[in-house]
Amino acid sequence: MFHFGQKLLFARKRWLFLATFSIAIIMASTISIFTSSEAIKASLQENAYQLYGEHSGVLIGIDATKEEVSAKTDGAGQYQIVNQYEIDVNKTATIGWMDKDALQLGHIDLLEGSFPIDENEVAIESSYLYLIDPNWKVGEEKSLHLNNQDVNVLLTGIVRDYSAKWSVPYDLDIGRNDFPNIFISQKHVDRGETNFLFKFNGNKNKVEKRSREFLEPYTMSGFINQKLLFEGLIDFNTISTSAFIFQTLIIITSICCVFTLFSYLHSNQRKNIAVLRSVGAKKEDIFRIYISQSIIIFFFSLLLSLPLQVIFYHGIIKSSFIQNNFSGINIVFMITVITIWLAIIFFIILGNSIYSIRKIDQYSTNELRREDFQIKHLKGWIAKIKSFAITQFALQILEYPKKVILALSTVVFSILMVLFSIYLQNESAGIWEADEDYFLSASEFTMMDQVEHLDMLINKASFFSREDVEKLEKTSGISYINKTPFMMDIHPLISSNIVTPAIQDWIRQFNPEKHKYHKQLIIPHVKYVLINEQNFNELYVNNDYQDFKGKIIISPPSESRNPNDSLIGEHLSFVRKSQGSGEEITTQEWTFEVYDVISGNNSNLAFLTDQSNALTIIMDEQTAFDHNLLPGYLELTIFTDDALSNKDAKHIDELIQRMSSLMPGSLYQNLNDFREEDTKISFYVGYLGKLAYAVSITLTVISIIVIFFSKYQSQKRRWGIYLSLGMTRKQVFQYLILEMIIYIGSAIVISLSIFLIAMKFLEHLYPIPFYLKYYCFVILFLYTLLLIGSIVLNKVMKRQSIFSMIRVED
Amino acid sequence: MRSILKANQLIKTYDRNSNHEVVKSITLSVKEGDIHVIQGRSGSGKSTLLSMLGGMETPTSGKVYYKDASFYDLTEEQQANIRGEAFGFVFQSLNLIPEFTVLENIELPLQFINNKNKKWDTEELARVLEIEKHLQKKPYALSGGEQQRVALARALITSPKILFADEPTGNLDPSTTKVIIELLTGLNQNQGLTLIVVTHEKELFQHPHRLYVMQNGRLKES
Repeated sequence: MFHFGQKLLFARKRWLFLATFSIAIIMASTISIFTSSEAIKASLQENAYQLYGEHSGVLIGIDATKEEVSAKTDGAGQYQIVNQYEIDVNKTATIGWMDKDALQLGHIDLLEGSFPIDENEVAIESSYLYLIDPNWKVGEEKSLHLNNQDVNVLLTGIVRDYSAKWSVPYDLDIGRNDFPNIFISQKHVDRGETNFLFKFNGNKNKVEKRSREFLEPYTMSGFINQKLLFEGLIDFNTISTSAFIFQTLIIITSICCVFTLFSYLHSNQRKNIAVLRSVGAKKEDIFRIYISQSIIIFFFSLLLSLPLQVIFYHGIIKSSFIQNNFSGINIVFMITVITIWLAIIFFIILGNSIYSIRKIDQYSTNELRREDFQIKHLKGWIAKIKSFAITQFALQILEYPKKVILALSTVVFSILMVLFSIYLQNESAGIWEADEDYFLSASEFTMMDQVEHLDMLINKASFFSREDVEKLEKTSGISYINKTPFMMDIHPLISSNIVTPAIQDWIRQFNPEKHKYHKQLIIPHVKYVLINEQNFNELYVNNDYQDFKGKIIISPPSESRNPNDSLIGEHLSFVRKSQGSGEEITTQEWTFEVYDVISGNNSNLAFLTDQSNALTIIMDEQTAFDHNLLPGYLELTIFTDDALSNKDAKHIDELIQRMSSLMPGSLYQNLNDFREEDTKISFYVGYLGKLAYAVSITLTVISIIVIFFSKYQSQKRRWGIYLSLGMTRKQVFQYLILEMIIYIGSAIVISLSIFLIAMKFLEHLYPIPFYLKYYCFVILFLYTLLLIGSIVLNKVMKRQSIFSMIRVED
Repeated sequence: MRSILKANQLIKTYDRNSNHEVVKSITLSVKEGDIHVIQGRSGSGKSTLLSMLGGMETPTSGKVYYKDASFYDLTEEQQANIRGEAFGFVFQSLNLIPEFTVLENIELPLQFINNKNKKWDTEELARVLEIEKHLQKKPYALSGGEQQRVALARALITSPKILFADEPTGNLDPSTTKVIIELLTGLNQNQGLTLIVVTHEKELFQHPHRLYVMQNGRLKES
């Protein structure tokens, strides 16, 4: 029976090619989407490990051995903070050691040399080494002042900057719970409390869950590697979900195509099956024929899909993340998943065969033998229409209506699929209008406590020093730095008798309970802007800067009611609560006169941007530092010159990176790179959408062409009669094409309506005409494919003689 | 009288690889108003020859001329016009459209031709063929003989120059056969209709102008 099935199959070579090609596309697209997404994920994972370490979390100062931690996790590395080295007044380096496992888990690499083995040997993080002595070379000794004595140490290696990028605890305390910047040998350290990097295996969600469970008993002594999970692997779930969704969508559309293709094969085979039945073939024999055909088609398709897989794989990678790490994919996992996808495809093919066998069962041998010129009973008004064209058209529509509806639903589905993936691509990428180049934050988080309704900082402040920022401002190529002062613990207070309606509204919005401090209302959520003389002169062309020094300007939110200048000349108090080294809380208070009240929405000045939703207090920078209102800056947004030379750009990048590298828990963002990275995932989603559309629409067009050819074949005697009576082949083709155009036109109208309705409810940054442009491309592509298909159909039709169409075979 | 239809060295091979010729180098000439009868066993190639002469099967080689024009060298549209206006066909399997009424079936060729001035009035033609009572019926409601007459009416509605008939009485009883043959002979004599008839019945036409026997793809005049 296998041989018979094979013979029947090979007798229809063109059909076999079409079916094999279609299934190969299905296989190639689903498998390549999976393999490329896994390769991208492997690459992202490797990059994330390089940046943030492979560890899932950190345990600090716990009373446990490495073996105990390892037993509860999937791997652990040990490290210890031993001492601190004061580089200068503002910078302190942490001295410590890490065991081999910790170095491995942290992906801590050496740029040069080796890690220390003996006493008085050190390996230092690159940026810290630059700060200590940029000329200190590996193999050279240098005297460092440690614990009030000078110690001669040998530099054995330079460590790639890592510590500033890693996640740190909320209560970061340099030299206590951060990571070593200066590595020493562990052999010569008295073991005290040690710290651990630990790792859990599994996917992102599983790792996060297991880590949280593991850390539960260590509330204050451990933290999750948030940067790894939420920054480094941020796209992980999106990639997996997108890949799975698009694979599923392709499989759904492929069901229609496979169903149509196999219906055609099986309806063509019916007569042969009838002959087999008449000579004694049983249901099992017919089943074997169909199974053998399914197996042959499956393996042929698999073979043909291999080169297509390579093409699709590289297409996906090149259009999105570029980077990929195929060798990083877990082979067992990959084989398992691919096998599952292939099994699904095989069962779709087999399912169609079984469906056909069950359908054949409903017919007698004689019915199967009969020609296909079956009578269609025209119902109701159609039968009354005297127009030949309309009656003929009705007859055409009555042929395979279910298949046509299925194919057209797939067209609607495919169009919507690509439109929504383009929507996702564009909306997730957003619109980048700002031209800032870098964003630096000294600290990802600050810990606050409430004292007398005032926020008090309880962890050690991380900030960019005024000197460093000024040095950066003076660097060639830097055009402007927007500085956010570290003043979140400074609270302005206002007496009830002078509060203006605008400030009253603001207090009502953010301090509804109207908390007071020493009988004065606390003004919440204030934004501070520090300006210098140049900024002041931009704001007030005719005023004297000296008159402003020591005073403040208030800029209420632009939309507030009655912004007025009634506060001018009044005094506002400022208060800060802080905790010393012990438990005692100190209070600092200042009073400043209001120089002016300005409206925030009429300023085009760079330092006063984004004032619309903020109550801003503008202060002289020098006055603020002189009064010790701030230690430095919390955030910096850096703008560089437009025509920056490569050399200057590199120098600025190094300088900015170094500023951040010396600050554990800080955030460094090269916004140009960030924009590029940020758009990769949207490009990925967009590309998958387009690939899924291309695949599904190709399959759908194949289905439509096969349906129309089947329609033509089953009605070929009718067409033959028309041709013998004087109809031209062109007219026959026109009838078929008109039908196709009407169907596709309906699909287009339906899909457009659904999309427009959806867009009415969905939020979108881009206007609807922007998406309609893509819609036109999608339709154009569909029509191009249909045109190609129609030309092929026309060619096949033309090859059949009228005589062969009319002749009754029996 | 001049030739209305000529065939020159007609050959038909269905499978080019096997070189098996169904029709082997046939040359013939049909004058206007002639009755040509082609006899032969089934499988001898007579239906294939008829379809080539009638513009429904492109020959593998050779030419078919209709009024000096090489039929298969004409454009698709010109071929369709000749088939619709100058040729009429009666098929062995009738090929009536089951969804259409008898009237619609008879008038079907008028949908495709340019010259709509038919010589025959449908009802008159139906009356001549004695199917006027069945015009609103569907073909499957008619007997075999009636269906055959509907097929003949459809072939004649455009007043063709040549009528090609493939076994026109193959499924009919002797009395109906006689009626059909008398009708065709009458049309030939009264209206100069050229008849090319394929049949396996030896005595169908008493005095054909030409009587051929087809054997293994070759045509012999007897």
